[in-house]
Amino acid sequence: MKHFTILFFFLAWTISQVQGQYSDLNTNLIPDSLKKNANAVVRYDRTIVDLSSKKKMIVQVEYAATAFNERGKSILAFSKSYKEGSSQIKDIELEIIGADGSTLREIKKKEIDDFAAFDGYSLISDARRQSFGINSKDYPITVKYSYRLESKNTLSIPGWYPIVNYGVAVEQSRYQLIHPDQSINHKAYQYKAKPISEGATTVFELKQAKALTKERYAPHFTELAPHVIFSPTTFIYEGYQGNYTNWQEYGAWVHHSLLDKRDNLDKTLVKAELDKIITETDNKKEIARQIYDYVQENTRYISISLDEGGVQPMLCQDVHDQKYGDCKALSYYMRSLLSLYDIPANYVEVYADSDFKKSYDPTFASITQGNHIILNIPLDQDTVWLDCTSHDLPFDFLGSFSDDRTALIINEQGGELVRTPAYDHTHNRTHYDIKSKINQEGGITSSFSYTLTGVPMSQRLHMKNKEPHLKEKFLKEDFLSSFKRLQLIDHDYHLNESDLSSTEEISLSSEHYGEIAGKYILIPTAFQSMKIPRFKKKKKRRYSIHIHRAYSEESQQIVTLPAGYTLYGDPHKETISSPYGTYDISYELNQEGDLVISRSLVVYKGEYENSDYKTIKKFFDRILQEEKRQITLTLSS
Amino acid sequence: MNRTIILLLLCITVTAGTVAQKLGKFDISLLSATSHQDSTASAAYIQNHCKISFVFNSNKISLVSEFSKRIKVYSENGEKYATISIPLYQQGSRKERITNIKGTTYNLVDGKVTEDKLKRKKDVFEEETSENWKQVKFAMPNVKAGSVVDIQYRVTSPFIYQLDRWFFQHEIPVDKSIYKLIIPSYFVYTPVPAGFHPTETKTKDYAGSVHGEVETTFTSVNIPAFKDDEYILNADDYKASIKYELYSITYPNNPPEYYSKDWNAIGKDLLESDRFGKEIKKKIKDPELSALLASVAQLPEEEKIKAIYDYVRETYTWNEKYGVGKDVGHKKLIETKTGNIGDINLLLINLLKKAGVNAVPAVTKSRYRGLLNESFPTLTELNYVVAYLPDPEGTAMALDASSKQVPFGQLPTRAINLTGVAIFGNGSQVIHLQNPNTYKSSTVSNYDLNIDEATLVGTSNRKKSDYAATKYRLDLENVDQSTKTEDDTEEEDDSDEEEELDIQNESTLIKAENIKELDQPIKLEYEEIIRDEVKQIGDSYFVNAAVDFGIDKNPFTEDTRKYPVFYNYKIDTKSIVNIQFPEDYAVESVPETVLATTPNKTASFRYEVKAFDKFLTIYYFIKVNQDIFTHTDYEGLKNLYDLIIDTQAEKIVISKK
Repeated sequence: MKHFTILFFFLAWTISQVQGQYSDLNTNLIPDSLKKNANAVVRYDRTIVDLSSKKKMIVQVEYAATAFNERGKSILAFSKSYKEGSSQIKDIELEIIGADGSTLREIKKKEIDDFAAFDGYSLISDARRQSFGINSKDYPITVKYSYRLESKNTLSIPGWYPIVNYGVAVEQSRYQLIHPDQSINHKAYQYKAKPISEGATTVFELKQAKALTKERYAPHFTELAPHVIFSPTTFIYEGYQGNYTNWQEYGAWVHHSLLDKRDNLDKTLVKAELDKIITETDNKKEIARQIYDYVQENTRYISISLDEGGVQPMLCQDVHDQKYGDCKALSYYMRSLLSLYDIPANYVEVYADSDFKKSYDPTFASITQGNHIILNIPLDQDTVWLDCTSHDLPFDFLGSFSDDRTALIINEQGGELVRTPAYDHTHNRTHYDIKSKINQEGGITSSFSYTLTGVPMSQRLHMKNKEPHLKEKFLKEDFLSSFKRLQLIDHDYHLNESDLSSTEEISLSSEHYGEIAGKYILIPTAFQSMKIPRFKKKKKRRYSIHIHRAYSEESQQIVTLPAGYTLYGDPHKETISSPYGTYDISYELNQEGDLVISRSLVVYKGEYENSDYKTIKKFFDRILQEEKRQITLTLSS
Repeated sequence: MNRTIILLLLCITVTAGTVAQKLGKFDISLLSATSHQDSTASAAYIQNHCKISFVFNSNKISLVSEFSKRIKVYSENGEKYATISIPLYQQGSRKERITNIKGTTYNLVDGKVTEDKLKRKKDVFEEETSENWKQVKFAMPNVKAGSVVDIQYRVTSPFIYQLDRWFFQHEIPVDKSIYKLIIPSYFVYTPVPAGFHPTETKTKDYAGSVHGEVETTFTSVNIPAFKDDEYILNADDYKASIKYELYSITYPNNPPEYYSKDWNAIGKDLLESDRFGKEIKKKIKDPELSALLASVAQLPEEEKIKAIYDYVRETYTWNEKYGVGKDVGHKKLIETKTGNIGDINLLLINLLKKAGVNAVPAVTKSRYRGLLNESFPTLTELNYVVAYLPDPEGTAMALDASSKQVPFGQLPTRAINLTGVAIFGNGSQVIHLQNPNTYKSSTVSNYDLNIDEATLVGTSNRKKSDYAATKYRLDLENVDQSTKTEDDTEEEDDSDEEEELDIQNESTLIKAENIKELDQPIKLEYEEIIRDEVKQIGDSYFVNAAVDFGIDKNPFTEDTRKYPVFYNYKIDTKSIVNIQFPEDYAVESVPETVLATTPNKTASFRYEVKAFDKFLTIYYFIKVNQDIFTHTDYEGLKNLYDLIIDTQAEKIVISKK
């Protein structure tokens, strides 16, 4: 009898252990509203950041998420980076759980890889990464893990990002900050709820958040998703104390603790070397240009992030000797060389991204806002801006990587916000000058010049140093891919550094350019339509509409028609204008019987309400309709 | 006395192998050269040598590889060839080590030669990238266009059985490459060459040396840069290279141990091993699997095979790891329902055998790793196994249960290699696995010609069979839910009064059948408005010959080709389009009928338009009957595609009567 009871309890206990072990993680419990448009759902995300000890920071995380398909899989991967020497990740527990909440697999510590965080382009990095990837394809699948990170550095407090990506819904995300004895500043974005403060603890929470869907020409994800960033007033970094409450003080600390001692250039020796190359002149801009050319020709950009988040640059003498460095090192080295000629330059922190012009927040100073370093040289007549990492970028041109945003100057006076130059539609120009000849079979021979300035010019800089056969490959497969049976006869690329324009002269021939339709020949208005924003047909637009940069395009084409052919129908002229831009097109025969096609487009930079969506879509659709016109040619009777 | 002599001899052996192939005198004219004979080259290996030798140290034998390279950089794009990254393998306490790293960058400055030396402590970095691999990286100092870089280093390895493939040919030109091997008589290797380029070979006997070394030197000069290509599976199969495969080791007073043998021997070894043969023999104890076997016992052969295949495919999930043998093993596979290629397919073979089906394992290499070379039997290249059902009369069949979307009769693309080795109890046999996959689709569309708008409006019914259905199901897995448009329950936004301007083609899926029924073809029905395939001029309507389907471009642009063309599947697509037009209109002209095939009828194209009173019908069929085309077939294939493009450029004319 006794045995029987014990056996029964034992069986019951083992069954309950195996089945429904985490009944709260059963995927049936996920509300339908959260499954909509979702690749994955975060079931819970509980973070505690403990700054009770002034000497270290402890972060504890408990996390569980369910993926519904391949796209959602990435949020299941456990991958935490930490800085070797001053941080440690401990107590990792990780389980893979099935749809019904039962444990499929427990992952042991030794299965979690701990190796150098290879970001794909750094030569070396002392960031290490603990990671484990999920290989199953049996969806839905849930991963649950917990861990503890201890760091001796309290400068960089992890932010709270409850929604990590489009297509990820959140059941519950909770962030708790423990901070007796010191105030920690925070700034919330797209998060309206009041944090709950109790004594030394502050809690942020988000529940039942639906997945965000992607829309074109929308604000960037970080401008849509709620998040909170933190900034300590006093902190420890690599054993040293520091403090700041605003950008000026932050900059002062960076300059004093991280930058100041990095300039160990042997000034006499290096100046002597440079004097041989630099032609002295009173024009400081010219000297800066020569030094910039020297640095471009003699150094290579290699990413070396030996420091958490890559905070401290290499020593200037090392850059000079080894002839390579990353953005911090090359910029600080360039600054050092400029100082040899009494040209003061500022080290500038910026957030660089071609698609997202993120500005430094003037109301909130913190370490996490930038990802790149550029240089600015305040001269009497104007300010010169330099990005020292690209061998292609001409002097005094930043390109789309860091234009038109608020950045941070860091020098002896401390930190100061500054605006990087913006390029408008008079700068960002594309110009075509085309002469073509069509034959009776619809074939074309054409030679044209293609001139770019501003951001379009910088996006084409890859042509400057490409080998000829790769240039050809690019032209055939990419730029001129609309041509069928293309013969590329000649091409030439030239960059004019003084007016920052690039010009290409291209000549080609191709069959099937014009379509034969009975006794007519149909030709397009251009072999490439202009860059026109395209919008999907939508019932309801969620987000505001953002066009990041203004630009303009022009095309002048003279087409010699086949013998005996003329334009069918009337010449055409159309102008379309709106607050979003203007477009002109015209085609007609000139006195010689050639067809002259002119087109021009200006698109303005702007941020528009979502209620304007249909109007904006219609404006650009009308332009596209004009661009897609086919011009009909016929035998003159 | 003897001992001292032996020690002395050992010392001599040890020192004899420590000097890497010398790079030769430095020629200043090399520094001033601005381009290679191949003017498109951004850099070139002036010299690229490797010397292999064995070092004996009491009980341990080490494999020593000494590398010496001289690289000339012609342009900025070539600078990357002066950043070296060396992977080192380690297994527990046994590690490959790198020593004797020396590097110098030479530049010509004002007519004088400058030298920048690589500093071991500053410029050389070591990094662990995973449990078994470490990377040693270094960036040569002061490299720019025109520089010449000399690099030397030595790798000492305890893994003496594996000699890496030595590539003579690279993506940049190589002026001279010497591969020298000094091998003790105990080790016998089979050289396995690849690629096309002549090499000179010399051998030398070290008479009287302790270990009876033989020195073999391969010298290759003026090797052109290798140009990669989209339609070959793996560039490494085609670059000029050589791999020394260990055949046997015979120590003094010991019997020989054989390593790489013929396929029979490799097959026998696999069958006897725990990770392969024993897995197939495992007893079936799991109640569900026993029930499966019981339920299929009375079924006819084909149904039995399909039932077992379907069960394994549906129940077990691939963990995305390759392997010819097991990873987690039978017990854990059944417990966790997850395993590698070996786990899943060896279980499949096990079950088939227990059900009385004649099934054997066939081993091969996954498709993207390149072709398995049947003339050079090797165990190390194998990373895939499938179930093979031989059929002396009809067609043999291969089964791979690792992909949930692939039904009985098809194979996942990764499993399709030209060559495999079927392992029978009494021997192994090279087999050529046919690609069973065909992209088969048939579309029937019915449109009305809208006279006012010059558009085609109607419905399109698409049936996707065989691999076309599988591909559709695989693609569905990868759909990003965050880009889907809202469903109809969303309220319409009334605030904007603008009328829409419709300029795009519209295609709305209104019905989809059999998405999850793997054995059935997928049927899709679309409602369509096609706006840019009809041009109105006066009273005539010009409709594009292939409406909105067909191919965009000829994928084959070169005139001739050196390598074969690999398609992932055969193709069989049919499109039939009916266009109705009003009573007062008639078909004025149609493109000529085309019926074309490649020589040997390996691919064909049929185009025809039949005109009637009130409607017309377009027939457009493309068939590609094999998945591999040799380079001699290439021209015929290219010409066929050119003909398709030309046909698509024509117009069908419908005019008012």
